[in-house]
Amino acid sequence: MALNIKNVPAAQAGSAVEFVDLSAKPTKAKIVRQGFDVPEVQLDTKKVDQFVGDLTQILPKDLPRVVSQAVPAGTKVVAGTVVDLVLAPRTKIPFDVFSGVHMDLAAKNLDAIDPLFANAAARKTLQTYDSADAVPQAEKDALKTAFQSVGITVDESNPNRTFQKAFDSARGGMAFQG
Amino acid sequence: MPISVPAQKTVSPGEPVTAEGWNAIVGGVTTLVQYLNATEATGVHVVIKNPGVTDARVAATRDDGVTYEAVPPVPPGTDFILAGLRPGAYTVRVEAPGFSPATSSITAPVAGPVEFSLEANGAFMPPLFGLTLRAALQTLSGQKIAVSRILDVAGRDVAPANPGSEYNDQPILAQLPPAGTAVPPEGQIQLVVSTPLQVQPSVEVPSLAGLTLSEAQKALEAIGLVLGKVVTKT
Repeated sequence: MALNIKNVPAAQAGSAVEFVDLSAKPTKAKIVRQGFDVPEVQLDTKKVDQFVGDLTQILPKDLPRVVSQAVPAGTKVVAGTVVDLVLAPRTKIPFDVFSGVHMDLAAKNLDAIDPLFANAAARKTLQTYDSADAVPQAEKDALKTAFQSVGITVDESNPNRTFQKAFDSARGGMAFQG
Repeated sequence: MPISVPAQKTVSPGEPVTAEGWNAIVGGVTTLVQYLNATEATGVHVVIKNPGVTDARVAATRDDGVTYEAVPPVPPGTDFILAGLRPGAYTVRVEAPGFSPATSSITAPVAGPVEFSLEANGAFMPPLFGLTLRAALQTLSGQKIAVSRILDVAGRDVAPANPGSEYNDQPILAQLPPAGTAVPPEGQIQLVVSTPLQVQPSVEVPSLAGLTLSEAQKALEAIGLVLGKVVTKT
């Protein structure tokens, strides 16, 4: 075994000499899947480059999203606790997984309001305020118009179609954006 | 002082108690009180000079083998009293936990109190409550008191000879026997010590809904949680 002995500045308290293993056989990763070694594959790098170049990049918004977690949010656990997850494509997640969803969104999936988030003003309002009550009237009016453009009608006389329900539903959908 | 039985005169139901009969009752009670006073006054008082010794046994044995137990002191009094000793020779014996028995020969009646200074035999349990285990063991060792067993509050045995560093600074929560109790030389005592607590910091699991896998993994790892099994459904 060959050893490279390197002097370390005196300011580094504790160890004055650091050992680096430069032996002929460095540590190699042993990759196991479901109890069996994953075979080492020899790839033709040119063909791989060509293949990769033809692929379309998956946008972050199209990546699967967490819809379920084994340990519910808010649970107090010790460090090191393992949390299992279930993910699903955003386009297949229905709005009615949210509690108290606006009636116009109940039968739709999360991608139904993607155009709403393309509206910079609407997006900013949704990002800025935590609750519908905090939205200033001018921004509220603009947001109602934006809601209308994606099929969300605000009707304060209908408890299932209020601005608050629309705002909360849109904020929930925003968690699955980006 | 002899006590003579007063004249016994009985009455039938409905008959009045006569003056003669009443006087006989009063006379009998008076004679009894005088007898008791005279007996107490002539009783032998035994004084144990060692402070705090109240659970001693004091007895006087007459030369014919009859033994009389002394009445323990009634606070604020401190004397043991051997009452009703008839004149004669007696051997007074005093026994108290933590002390060697002591005897003294007397001849009743005795004018003054009989005094004893007892010789300590063994040690007395020191107050250990709240001391660290290390300090308690040092105190006991200094008094040559052996520890037979130590338990922590979870019921685990702790080796008295080598409790382990995690127990050294734990407080004593109970001791057997209680403080002040005599521990004979061959006696062994027991202790209960607090269990060392290992506090693990807790974290609150965040809501991961809506995050991508890499975002969720970063969020979990940032607070010390571990990403487990991931299932992606379409």
